[in-house]
Amino acid sequence: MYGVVMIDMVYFVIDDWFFIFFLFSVLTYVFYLFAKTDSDVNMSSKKPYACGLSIDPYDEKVPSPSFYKTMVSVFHMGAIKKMHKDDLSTYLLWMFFGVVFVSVYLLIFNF
Amino acid sequence: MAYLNLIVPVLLAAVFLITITSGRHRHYHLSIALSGVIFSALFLLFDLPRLISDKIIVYYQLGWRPPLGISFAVDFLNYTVLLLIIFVAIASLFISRTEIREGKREFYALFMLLLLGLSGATMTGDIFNLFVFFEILSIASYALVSYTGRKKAISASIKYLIMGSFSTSLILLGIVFVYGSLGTLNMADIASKVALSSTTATIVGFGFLISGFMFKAAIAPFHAWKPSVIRHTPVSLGLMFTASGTIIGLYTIFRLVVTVGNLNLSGMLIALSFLTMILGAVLALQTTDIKKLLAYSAISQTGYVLLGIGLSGYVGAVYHMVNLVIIDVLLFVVAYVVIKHFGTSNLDKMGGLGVGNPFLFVSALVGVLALSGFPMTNGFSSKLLIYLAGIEVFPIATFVAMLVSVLTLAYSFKMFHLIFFSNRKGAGVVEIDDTLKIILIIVVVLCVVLGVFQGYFTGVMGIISGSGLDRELYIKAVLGLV
Repeated sequence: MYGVVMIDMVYFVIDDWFFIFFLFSVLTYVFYLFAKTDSDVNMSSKKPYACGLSIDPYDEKVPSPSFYKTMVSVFHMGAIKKMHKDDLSTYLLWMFFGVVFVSVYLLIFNF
Repeated sequence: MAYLNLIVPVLLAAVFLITITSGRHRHYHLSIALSGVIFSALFLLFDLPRLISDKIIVYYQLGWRPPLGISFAVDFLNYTVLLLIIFVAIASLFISRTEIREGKREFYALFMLLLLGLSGATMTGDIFNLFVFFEILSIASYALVSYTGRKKAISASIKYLIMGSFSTSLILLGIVFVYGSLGTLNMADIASKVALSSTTATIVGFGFLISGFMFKAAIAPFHAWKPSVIRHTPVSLGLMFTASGTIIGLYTIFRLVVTVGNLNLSGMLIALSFLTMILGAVLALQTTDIKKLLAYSAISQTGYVLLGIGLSGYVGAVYHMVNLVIIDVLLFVVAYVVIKHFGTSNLDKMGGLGVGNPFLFVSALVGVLALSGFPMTNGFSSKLLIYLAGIEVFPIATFVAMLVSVLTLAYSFKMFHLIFFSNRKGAGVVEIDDTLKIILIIVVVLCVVLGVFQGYFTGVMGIISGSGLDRELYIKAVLGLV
C-alpha cells in the first residue's frame, strides 16, 4: 500500500512539479519587481508632472498606510474597533453573553 | 510502559533544574529547556509504533483504574496535538535564544511550566485533571505576560488574569455540575453515561465547560484577551500563546463535544465561527501592529476550524488546525526577524525589505499565500475541505468562509506590502539566525508539501479525526473493556 502511494507521489512530482514551481517562481518574480520599483526611489530625480509641475517621486505613490485607512473607513469598521479598546468590563460582558448563549443553546437543543 | 507518561515528569524535572541550578554559559537555561522538549519529542516518537498497533494508548496513574483512578489516554488526535505543541515549543525556544536577554531563569522555568500544563491537558482522560493542567498553564501564562515588567505588560497580564480566572471558574463550575449529575470525572465514563443519565445539570455543566475552553481557544466573544496579551509579550511567547493555546482549546472542545458529550452543537458552532472569522479578519485589517495582526489572524483562522467541526467536516477541521500551527510558526518567525530589524512592531514604520532579502521575501510570501488559502499551499487544502463540507450541509457557511478568505487575502497582503514594499529606502539586509533559517525552511517546505500532496494528507487527517470520532473505542480502551 505504501509502495503504491510512494509511486503516485513520484508520478505527481514528475507530472506537475514543474508547473507548480514555474507558477510560484513567476509570482515571486512579479512581487519582487513590484518591491524593487517601490523601494528604489531616487530622491534626487524630479520628474515633470502632467501639468508641468515638478513632483517628488515619493509623493507620486499613495503611502500604504493611507490606502488601508481608506479601506477601513469605507467599510465603517470604527464601531468594532471601539469595542476593542482594552476595556475589561466590556470584555467581561461579552464573555457573560457568550456563556449565556452557549448554555441556552445547549439546553434548547440537547435536552 | 508508556513513554508518553514520562513527558510530564521530564518537563517538571526541567523546571526544577532551571530553577535550582545555574551555569556559566549564557544559554545554560535554554539548553535545559530544549533538552526537556527534545526528550518529550523522543518519547512521543518511541510510542508511535504502539499507537499505530493499538490505536489508543492508555496509562493508569499508579495503577488505579477508572472511574476512580486518573488515566492518560492518547489516540491519534491528541498525539498530533501534542506533536504540534512540541514543534511550536522548539520554534519558540529558538526565537527566545536571541530575544530573551534578562531574567532567563524565570522565563525558561515558566515556559517549561506552561509546556507541562499544555502536555498534561492534551494527554489526560480525566476532566478534573484537565482543569488542574489548565490551571498550571494559566498561572504560568499570567506570569509570563508580565515577565518584561513593563507597565502595559503588567496591565495586560492583570486583565488576562481576571478574564482567565472567570473562564477557569466556569470550567470548575462545569466540572461540579457534571460530577454532581453523573458521579464521575473520567471522560470515558462520562461518555458512557451521558446518553442515559444526563440531566439539566449535565447540560448546563457542559455549557460552562465549553464556554471556559472557548476562552482558551480565543473564540468570539471570548477572544478579546488575545491581541492585547500577544502585543505586550515577546514574540517567542506570542507564538506559544497563539499556536499552542489555540490548538489546546480547540482540541478540548473537539474532545468534549464529539468524543465525550456527543452533543448537537452544529448551529451554535457555526454561528460562533462566523463571528470569530469575521471579527478576527476585520480587526486584522484595521490594526497596524504586526503582533496584533497575527493574533487577530489566528482568531479568524480558529473560526475556520470551528466551522469545520460545526459542519461535521472533521477532516478539514483537523487539517486546518495542523496548517494553522505551521503558518503561525512561519509568520511569527518572520515577524520576529522583522521586529528585531526595525526595532518596532508598528507596520507603518517598516518597509522596503523587498530588495536584498530574497530568503525572507520568499518565506513570507509562502506564509501569506498559505494563510490566504492560495492553491498549492496547505491553507488551500484545508479550506477547500471545509468549503466542500459547507456545500453539502449549509452552503451559506461556504459563502461566508470564502468572503472571509478575501478579507484574509487583504490583511495578509497588507502586512506583506508594508514590510517588503512601501516607500522606504535603504531598509537594509535583515540578519537571520541560522537556527531560525532552518525553522523557516522546514515550515515553508511543510506549507508547500501539505498543499501539493493534498490527497495523501487528507487520508492522514482522516485517520487522525476518525480517531477522535471513535467514541466506542475510546470508552472501551479507557475503561479497560477491550
